[in-house]
Amino acid sequence: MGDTSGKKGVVFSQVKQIGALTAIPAVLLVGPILGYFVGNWIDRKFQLYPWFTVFFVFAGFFAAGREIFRLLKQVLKEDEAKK
Amino acid sequence: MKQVEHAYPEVMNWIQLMARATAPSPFSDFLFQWEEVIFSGIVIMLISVFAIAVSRKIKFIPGRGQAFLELLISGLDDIVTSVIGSRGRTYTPFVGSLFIYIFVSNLFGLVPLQNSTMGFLTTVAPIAFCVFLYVQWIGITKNGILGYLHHLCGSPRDIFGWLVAPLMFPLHVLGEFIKPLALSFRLYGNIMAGHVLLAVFMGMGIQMLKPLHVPVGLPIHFPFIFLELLIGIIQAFVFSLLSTIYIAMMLPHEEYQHENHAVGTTHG
Repeated sequence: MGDTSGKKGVVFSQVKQIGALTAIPAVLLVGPILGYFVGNWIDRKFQLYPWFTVFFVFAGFFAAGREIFRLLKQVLKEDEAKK
Repeated sequence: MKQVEHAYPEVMNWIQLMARATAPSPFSDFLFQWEEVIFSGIVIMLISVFAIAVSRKIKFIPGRGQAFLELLISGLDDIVTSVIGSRGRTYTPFVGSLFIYIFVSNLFGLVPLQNSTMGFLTTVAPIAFCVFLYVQWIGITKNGILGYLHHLCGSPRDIFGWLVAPLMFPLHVLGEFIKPLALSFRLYGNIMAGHVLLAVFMGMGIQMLKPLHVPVGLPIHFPFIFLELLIGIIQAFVFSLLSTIYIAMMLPHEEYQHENHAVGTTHG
């Protein structure tokens, strides 16, 4: 296994953080879209439009925000552990 | 004729050229429908041939091929163990395969008359789906069924946690599906956008020399090949890194924290 300490380790850690940060837009976009499709499917199934669509769009948005929070927490936790 | 016309400009590859030359025929239909599968097969074959050729002649003092492969595997192992810890080495083959396949596919797409399979959602989405299934499988095997459901409820520890668990459950389930979708859309979007960029600039280069009636164009797309090369490497790295992080997020917290602390003290 290679060495991940020192200057190389710092660069590696920064690249990793940038990599994780690039996931944010995609996750934020996909959450509400997925929520819309799930909610719309349930609404069409039970003829309850627009309740589940609205609920799942918001749920998708919150889920996306939560995933981003967990992702960043995970990456920052690794760096904290290394300090 | 079952020719697939894309809504965006793209550079012709040898399969499309061959399919157009033989159209209309069942063979051209076959080529149009199985384009990405053929390119995937070629990439898999290239990787396999290289890996078998190098691993057959393993020496104590490595040659160029062996040294490159050792460096690559060691780098991939570093990515996985730096996120999960030394026990994460179990997942290196999976994450490493993802990286190598995506990386080689992206490089392959820059070869003239070839195409990157990462520019097809039909290839990228199944890869992300494999990550999703693998992460869920790890969640079930490492946490147990009840532990997995407990994790999906947001790991409640007190009465308040259990009260909000019915609300956390759909959020968590949605979150699990968001991960592979975001992974696939990002990779597909970046690679496809790169192909479109190259195709547009190639077209512009051809248009520039059109008044001279010469069968060539100005290579104004050339600098973007290097950009594509960089994007190909970055996207392969980010896909593997995020897959590793998703695996780490599914592992039991105690095991992960213990491991991560161990890594921290080792590399600190």
